[in-house]
Amino acid sequence: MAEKAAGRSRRGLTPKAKEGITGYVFILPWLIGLLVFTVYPMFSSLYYSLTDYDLLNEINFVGFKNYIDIFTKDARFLKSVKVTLTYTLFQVPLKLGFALFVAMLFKGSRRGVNVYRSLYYLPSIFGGSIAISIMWRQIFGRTGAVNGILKSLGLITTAKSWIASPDTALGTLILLSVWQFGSPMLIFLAGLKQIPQSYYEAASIDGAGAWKQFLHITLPSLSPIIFYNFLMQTIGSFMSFTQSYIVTAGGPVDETLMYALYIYQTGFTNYHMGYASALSWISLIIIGIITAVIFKTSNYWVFYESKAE
Amino acid sequence: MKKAFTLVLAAAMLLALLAGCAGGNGTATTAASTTAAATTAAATTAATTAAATTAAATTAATTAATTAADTAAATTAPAAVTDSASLRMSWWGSQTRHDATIKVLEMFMDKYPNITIEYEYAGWDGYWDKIAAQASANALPNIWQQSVAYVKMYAEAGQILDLQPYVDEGIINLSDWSEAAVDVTRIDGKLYSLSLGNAAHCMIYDPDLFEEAGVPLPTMDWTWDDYKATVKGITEALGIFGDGSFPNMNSKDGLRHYVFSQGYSMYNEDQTALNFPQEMMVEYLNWEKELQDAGYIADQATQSEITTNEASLIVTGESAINSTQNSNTCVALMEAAGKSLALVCYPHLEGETRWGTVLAPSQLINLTDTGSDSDKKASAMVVDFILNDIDANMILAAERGVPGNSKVAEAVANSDVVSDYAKITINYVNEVSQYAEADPDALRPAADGEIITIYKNYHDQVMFGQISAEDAAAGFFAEANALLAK
Repeated sequence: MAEKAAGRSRRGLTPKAKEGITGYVFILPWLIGLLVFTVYPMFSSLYYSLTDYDLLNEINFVGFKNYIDIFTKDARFLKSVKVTLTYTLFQVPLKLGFALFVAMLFKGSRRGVNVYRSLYYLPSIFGGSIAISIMWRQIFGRTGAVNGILKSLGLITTAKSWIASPDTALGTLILLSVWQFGSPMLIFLAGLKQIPQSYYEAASIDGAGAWKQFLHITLPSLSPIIFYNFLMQTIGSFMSFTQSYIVTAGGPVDETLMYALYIYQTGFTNYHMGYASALSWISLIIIGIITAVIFKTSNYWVFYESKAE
Repeated sequence: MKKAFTLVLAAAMLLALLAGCAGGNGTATTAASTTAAATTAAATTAATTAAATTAAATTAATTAATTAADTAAATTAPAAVTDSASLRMSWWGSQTRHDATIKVLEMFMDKYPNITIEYEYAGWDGYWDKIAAQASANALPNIWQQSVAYVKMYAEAGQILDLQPYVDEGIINLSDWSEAAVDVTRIDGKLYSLSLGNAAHCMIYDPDLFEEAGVPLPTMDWTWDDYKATVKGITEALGIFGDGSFPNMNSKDGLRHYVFSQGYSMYNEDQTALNFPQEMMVEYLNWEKELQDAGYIADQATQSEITTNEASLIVTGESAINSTQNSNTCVALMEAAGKSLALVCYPHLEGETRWGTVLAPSQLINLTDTGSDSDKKASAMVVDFILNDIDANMILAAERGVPGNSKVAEAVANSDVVSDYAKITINYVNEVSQYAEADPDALRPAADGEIITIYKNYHDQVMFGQISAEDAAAGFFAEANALLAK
């Protein structure tokens, strides 16, 4: 029996390997989920993007035809990219700007500041829901609350539909997104609290005013957090779908046709699944490029205290 | 003291948060999920949510069916199926339709206790996502409601059954149907679906507003010039829109009727190309834009906001006419308005004898090519029951349109199960069917959905003044013909 045990430990697995396997077993449920629900569909989608799959008929391999068609024949693709970029370009800086501004206001410990923080955080909890989008459509519609208020203030005479007019439709979506600035605000608050008070004291002794202190102490110290928020918000903004689907359904003359919505329409309304898969992979590449650019440029403006000498 | 106070405050906040979360989030999520089920979701989420919400209904239904007393009904049963069958059925519609259809299915299950039907229903939006997902998973229901827009697609993909064999066997009895009512749903001679109800295109108007404005009422043979004068008269007299929904949600219908009334149709015989001259589209778009700019018909922004019957301009009193697609949707409009309105044909061109209105099936029912032969026969029996049984149709009350079975249609029209509103629409369809033609584009080509989107885009751009009608027509023709040629 001693021989058997000895043989086992000599020819069996080392303790380190056993530990590794134990680890994998523990994460097995999540790993299976990842493989089945993320990795497999991803590679299926890559395969479908090279075919003309349309849910009902047989699948034919067409090579890169979908990709070529997207770039050469599809005006709506260009429109949706333009719309999504415009949306991102406006809502990310506005949202982060508001978040930082409100965080600065509420970083102190005056009475009731917690209540305000919670109130401003609330929209970002349920703002992405369908119920809020439906409500938004109501409010900004022709017979909605906004028109009612503007009329009673005498600012307009005829009700205009904010969500159905080509020039203001995207604006209402941007507003909906900026309204949800609570969650980056909280992250900024956390960051602000970490800036040592001594910096500010030293600066004010040296005669720096509030604005200079903000520019030269707060912003650089916050820059990793600004970077994080900026990156996450940009990526999220490219994937935005619910709002444009519910509030404007792609908008008057495609003015609010977000990229994700375009993919949905192509795939689920027109049943061009192969084409929609190709669109999705192009989206991945675009977001990847933008993320890489953001990371690259971050070396120039993000200041990591830990890396300083 | 401070400690106690902080503790109490914390507890209160916690309770408020829980109540808020449970109540707020709960209702938000339930509202969101019901709205999701009703409006949209990814196909699978819609399927799961719908399945979950109808799970309770189906268990109730099946228990009711099995515990119901076996009524020895003296019925003229068609070729009886002795094997038991478990079928699934889907349809879309409003709550009224759901309730009525469920009652009819329960009637059927009482009559044939060895056949059970599990049903799922949804609103229009979520329904097609679900069907598409089920089709790709080869899990379509045995019997389902079909749309003229998609039937060709599913027929070409070989997913639905030809019903002719069941008609020949006598399971589906079409002896009381007119030839036209059956032929209108044939594709290449095969009977892939049957009409659940016929309708005719119409414009619905409010005679009271006409009287108030002092504008003469429209007649069945009015012309496009008469129409223009009418909407102008209404706007000038009352300050409201003459027509609140021209050219209707799909936009294409205004063009369709214009083209049709001049002797053309949207698609040619094999549906491989558009079948009307490009200049006609330019002419039409300019004409419509002129009316919209003048304020005689509701502008594009206003129209695109209206998604429910309650918000319709004729219901809110902001227009005197609504150009509606199908006569059977007029019932819901009248119910929303709370009063009887009148129906009239689309206008036709001066001098042309072809009427502006067509007769078409408003929705279809078909069977999936799935399951055993006895399942298919049982499904055919269900279809026959829904289409031909007089008692069942008394419950359905022609809500889906005028029944194709003329005896049933007569019985329903003369009874009091149909509201006065429904009688108005049934009478309209009957009158129109005397001289309206069958819709040449009744069954749409597979690319029709996409063509509608393309058209709507160009149409809206013209209405918002972004491009000229000529550019729009040129672009539309190029894209549509390319799609159809595939």
